[in-house]
Amino acid sequence: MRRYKLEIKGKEFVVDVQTLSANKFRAILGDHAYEVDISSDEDLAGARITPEIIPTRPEDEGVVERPEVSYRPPDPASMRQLPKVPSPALPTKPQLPSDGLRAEIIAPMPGTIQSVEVKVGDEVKHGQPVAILEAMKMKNTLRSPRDGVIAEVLVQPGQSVSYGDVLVKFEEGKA
Amino acid sequence: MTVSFAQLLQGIQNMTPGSLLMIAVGCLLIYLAVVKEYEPMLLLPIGAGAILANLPLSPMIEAEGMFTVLKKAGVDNELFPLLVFIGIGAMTDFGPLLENPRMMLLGAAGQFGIFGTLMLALLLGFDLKEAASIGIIGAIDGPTSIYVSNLLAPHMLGPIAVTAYSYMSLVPIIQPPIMRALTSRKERLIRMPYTSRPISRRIRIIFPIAVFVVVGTLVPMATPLIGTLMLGNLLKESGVVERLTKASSNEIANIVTLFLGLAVGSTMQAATFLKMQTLAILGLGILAFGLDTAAGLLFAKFLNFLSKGRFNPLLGAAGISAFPMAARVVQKMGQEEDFENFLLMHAMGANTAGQIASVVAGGVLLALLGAH
Repeated sequence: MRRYKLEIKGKEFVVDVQTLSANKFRAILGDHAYEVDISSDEDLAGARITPEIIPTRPEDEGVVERPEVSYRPPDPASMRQLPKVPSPALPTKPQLPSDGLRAEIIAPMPGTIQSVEVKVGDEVKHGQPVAILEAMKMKNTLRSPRDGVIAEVLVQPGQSVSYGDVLVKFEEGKA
Repeated sequence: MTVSFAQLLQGIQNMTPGSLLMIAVGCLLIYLAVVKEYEPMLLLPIGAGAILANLPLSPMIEAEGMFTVLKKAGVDNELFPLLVFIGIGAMTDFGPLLENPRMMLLGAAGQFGIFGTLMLALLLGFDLKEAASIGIIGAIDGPTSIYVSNLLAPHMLGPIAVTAYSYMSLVPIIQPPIMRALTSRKERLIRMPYTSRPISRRIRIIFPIAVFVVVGTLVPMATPLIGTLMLGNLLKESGVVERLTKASSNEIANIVTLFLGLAVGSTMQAATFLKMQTLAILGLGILAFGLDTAAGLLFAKFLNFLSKGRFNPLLGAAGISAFPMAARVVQKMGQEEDFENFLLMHAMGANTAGQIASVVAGGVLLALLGAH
């Protein structure tokens, strides 16, 4: 779990984020929990998306066991009333950007992995077959969306996968 | 002595040019089944049935001959196509359609070609019942074509069944040019991520029963077809009659397919098959198929317009009954343009909708034309 402290227009919010699966998160804000689906996590050009986090050391505040357990954020209703601000530079196809920056390959639909064509350390090119996914009795070749080096293979032949399961991870920065 | 010698040769003496030609047609069907693997499960028995029925003085088609018995037992009374439908229902997963119910619209749109072809067949001089039987070829549904044509125009059963099954196997050849012609590259590139929505067992069990009741009430003529299709699906989804499900989708479907193929093949006799009419049926059949595909594509383009460019029009081609060939064609064409576009699950939804809709269309035709 990660804890984010955000300051929005002078009000402080504490958000605890639990990772449920590759693209599902639970955000806890005060007494409210929100299920969050992340459909895309790419960097918007020039935008800073990493919030500045100042770690608080528990001993500074005199609470050792559970820091800030007494904290009560402001009424979350005030959050909902904020005007919706559209993200300026979201790509038109948020789910599957083809800019080659993705860190992993996910299962595009439920099915069974029939074969994996790459192994850890392999250099792959854009468009190279990575795995064969059998769905609805049809073999579908999953191809690499980018050039890169395979860092991790998370599935084996014969394994059933659901939509969104991570199949293969790329090494960061090795395009 | 001369009498018995002539009796030995009566086979040769009774060979006619027509029966020779029909044997050649039978051989062609077997060739397509064996070499090209065009729907071999049906075209092989149909081809063999055609040869055996056209051999001179063939005992197979005498009053108590095997083919006559099979035809009476299961084709004349519609039993075999309905038993095949139980098997199809037991093999079909309506999950992708339930996840995405709007695909039902594409299934409905895919049936409009039937009526276009019907009108053209009328212009060519077929009577209304014959024209309707030809139009139903457009749905590319073998059992429905057999069911409808046997009720409306039994004399054309052979050519219609052969046409329907041949074109069913030609889906990957006939559809892509139409799909390319009616969609722009930009449209084909529209990505549609899979929308995961778990369908509960309860809904999966209620669905076939609801379809029985709704379709059966609205189109009573479709009850036998939709009823058997959904019965098979109910067996599968209930999860408690695994043996019945297996029997329906394997043993029963396989045995009945053999019987149906032979019986249909045996109806292909020179006197009824070797007519210009048969060529017209072949031509109109492909037109019906093309029109159905085009109607589905155009409707999908309309849906794309309504959704402001987020609906890939290729999916329209899957709104026919040829399952799962049409869905695979859509998936393949989408991937040819963009290997990261996976339309398969959406296409499967439209394809299963096409199965339901073509059965309903068959029922509507029967109701309009007052069969029975």
